[in-house]
Amino acid sequence: MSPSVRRLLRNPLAVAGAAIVGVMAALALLAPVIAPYDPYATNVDAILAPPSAAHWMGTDRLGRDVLTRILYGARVSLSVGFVAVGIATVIGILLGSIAGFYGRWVDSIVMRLVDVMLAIPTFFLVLAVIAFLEPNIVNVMAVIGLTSWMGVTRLVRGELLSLRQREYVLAARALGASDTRLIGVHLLPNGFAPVLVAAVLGVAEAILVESALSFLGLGVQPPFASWGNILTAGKDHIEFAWWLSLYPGLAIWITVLGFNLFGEGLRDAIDPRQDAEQG
Amino acid sequence: MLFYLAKRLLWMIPVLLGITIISFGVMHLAPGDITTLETSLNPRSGQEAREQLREAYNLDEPIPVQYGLWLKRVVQLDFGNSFSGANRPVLDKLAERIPVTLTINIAAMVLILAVAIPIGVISAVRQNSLVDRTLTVIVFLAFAIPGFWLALLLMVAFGVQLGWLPVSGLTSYNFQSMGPLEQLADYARHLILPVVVSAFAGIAGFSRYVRSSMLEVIRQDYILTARAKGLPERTVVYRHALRNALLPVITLLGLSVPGLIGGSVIFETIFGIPGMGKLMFDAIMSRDYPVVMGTLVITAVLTLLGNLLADLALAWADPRVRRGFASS
Repeated sequence: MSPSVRRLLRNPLAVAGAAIVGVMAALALLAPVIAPYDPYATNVDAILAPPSAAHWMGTDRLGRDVLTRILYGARVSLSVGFVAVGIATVIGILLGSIAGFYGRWVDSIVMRLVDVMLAIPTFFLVLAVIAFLEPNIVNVMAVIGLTSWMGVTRLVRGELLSLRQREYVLAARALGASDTRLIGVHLLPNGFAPVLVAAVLGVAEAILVESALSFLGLGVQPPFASWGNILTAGKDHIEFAWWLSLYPGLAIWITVLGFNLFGEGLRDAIDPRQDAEQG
Repeated sequence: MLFYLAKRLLWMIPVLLGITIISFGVMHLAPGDITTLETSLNPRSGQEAREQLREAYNLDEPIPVQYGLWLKRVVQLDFGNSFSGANRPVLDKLAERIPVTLTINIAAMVLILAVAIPIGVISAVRQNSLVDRTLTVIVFLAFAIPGFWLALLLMVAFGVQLGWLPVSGLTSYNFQSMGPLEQLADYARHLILPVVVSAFAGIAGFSRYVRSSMLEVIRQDYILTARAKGLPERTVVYRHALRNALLPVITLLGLSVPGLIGGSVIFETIFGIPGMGKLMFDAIMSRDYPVVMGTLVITAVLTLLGNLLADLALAWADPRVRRGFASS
């Protein structure tokens, strides 16, 4: 076992985070098998029913089972999180690589683009884009991905900028390695760890953005279940149907917490400088 | 310092241009053009709105020309007229909303710093102690909580159940009949929940940041020197360590502006506060494109100004930054 993995396993918060992520992913994958009801099946006899043995988390205003809809909502949240971060990471690695490797004016252009994107409040930009497109899950994934690649770009660029004049890189170049090979084989692998950390933390961020968008009615549209849009309904009935607001919020909270704990744990495990020297 | 400021201002020009290009690009994401979207989604606004849009954005011209004409008006701060209500100029609408959002965000920042710095310092000074570990867990819990959900919970708890605080709007119904002091108190009462909610995640994030920044500084040789010459621990921590540890926090403060402004959409919508976030949300819902575009550009400019302020503050606080820029 590598020292990083050992450090990760010794950190109880990181292990807890990984466990949460694992359980949530399993629940999302298995939702069709384990969900007690059909997520779209309405039931006029159980409208806004409080939690009971039949409906552990109660029902909504159409009599749909909240637990079932939360399980299906996990599929939405996690897939938005992973796809959006996937898009952001690919863009970030590409732009960061060319900026860091070629430097000079290429670097200037990419970094000015990063400055521009960082100046626009992301949530406003996401909202504006959604306003000009249809709000649906595919657009939400794309928009979040396209507005969150700046961190990875900076990471990769910084890594390459500091490494590209190292002797081993110059040696590889002298031996005739192409630019693509230098970047892909000799340089990028060094940036793998910080990019992984950024990606895990990015999933948490993307889940929060998606749920906020859906909560505002600009994300995943009903009848599809998302944690955010269950909460929208919860807000309307908050004075007498607390279960509609409590459980989806808890689901978001726990999931985001899991990714954050896991991501921070990874960071500490990879770069143990701080706590190791002092502790 | 002046040289630094000039340099910093010049650097903003390409970024401002980029912001307008992206904002303009967003408008052209719509399949077909924005007039087809407008009319297909909102059948009431027929031919008239379509003509209005065509004219407002010169949609019959080639795209670079459209951008040029639009940019020409934007640099004069002319964002056109809103489609909704009394067709007022977008700039007027923004002007009355900006102070509201800024007040909430500045209050949130003050709250963030007031709470996060002590937490971060305590965690760092007593690293790995029980206090540090407990604070770490609490901070993680607080950081992950979705802001809009927290807003709902606090609304129910303090507004509905306990009835201590108003849950919506900026002023009470009898605001006009109050004296000036009462009016101020009324504002404050309405702002408590929104400010707390929008500061919440920031407090968690900043306290982590202060902690790691402190840990970084405490390892430096000059801290060892300060301790070696027998200075009391308080002096070492607050005068020697904290002041240096806070330098990167200034930068982070600048970088957190877009997040705070972005978050205002959620909090202002939930609490019914007439700020920029609510304006943006309402404009999107009613497809009021001039307002959407105007708000997007203006919030980006405000963010840039926030970053500029942070950088100037850093240059003022840290001579190394000034010299670094002057010599390069």
